[in-house]
Amino acid sequence: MHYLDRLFVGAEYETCVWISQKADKFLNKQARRHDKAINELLDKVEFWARSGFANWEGGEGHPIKHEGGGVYRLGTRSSLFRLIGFYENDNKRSFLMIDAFLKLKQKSARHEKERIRQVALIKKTPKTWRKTGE
Amino acid sequence: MSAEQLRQRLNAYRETPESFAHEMRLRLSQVVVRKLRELDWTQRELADKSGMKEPFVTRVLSGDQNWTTETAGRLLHALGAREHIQYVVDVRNTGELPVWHLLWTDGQETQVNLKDYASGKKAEIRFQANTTPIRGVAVSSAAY
Repeated sequence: MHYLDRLFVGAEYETCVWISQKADKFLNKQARRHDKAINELLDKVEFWARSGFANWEGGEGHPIKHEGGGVYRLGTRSSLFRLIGFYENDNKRSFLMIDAFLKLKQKSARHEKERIRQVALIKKTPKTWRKTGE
Repeated sequence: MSAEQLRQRLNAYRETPESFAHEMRLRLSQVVVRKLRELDWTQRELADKSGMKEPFVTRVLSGDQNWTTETAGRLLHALGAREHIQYVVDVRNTGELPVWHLLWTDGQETQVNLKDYASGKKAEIRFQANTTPIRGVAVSSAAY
């Protein structure tokens, strides 16, 4: 079971963002070494959340990219950190950030694709996640 | 571990000069994204029309490009986005604290009651211009 905590949730957000314990732990840990990259990434995610993730979705070059199976990856050019998750439902008002990792190089490696596949599996399987503190 | 730590980290970052520069980059990216959608242009089309390289446009789009005013001007000109550019050019404290009068580049004024916002040295002010949410940032000399 993946428990999701409130990251950016409230009326001011077009897309509310929930974060899994796994992704949260990873980002907190990485912030010790990659302070600037994590701060800027969080700042961007919050900014995108305010205006709505849908505005930032697109193909190559867009910060929010559909990876297939309803799974999206969030990332920027300035760092190799990637956040993986999916929308709670079709209205796209709530995004569940399930996983996060640091890419080893620009091109996705096999194990990174596997992480994305695992998130797709969580999306497909009922009762594999739960929001806390609603 | 909790998401609260990440939010605290972000709040601390927002007190730094770097965060102000980062926000300006994000603001430009928002204008570019919105106009690209309105015009139904690709990044390549914008690159061609503005005389920029496509990777540059991509970095602007994700808020990663540390642009100059000249390059931002070229992009916005190509997009015909002049009406989208607004900044707070003056913050007047009229003595009737806690109301601030914000003067915008287009000459309009907005009144903001700081009591509606977070306390502290920095107040982050959000309001609507037309239907577009615009975020202005001002630094208060007084604490609330």
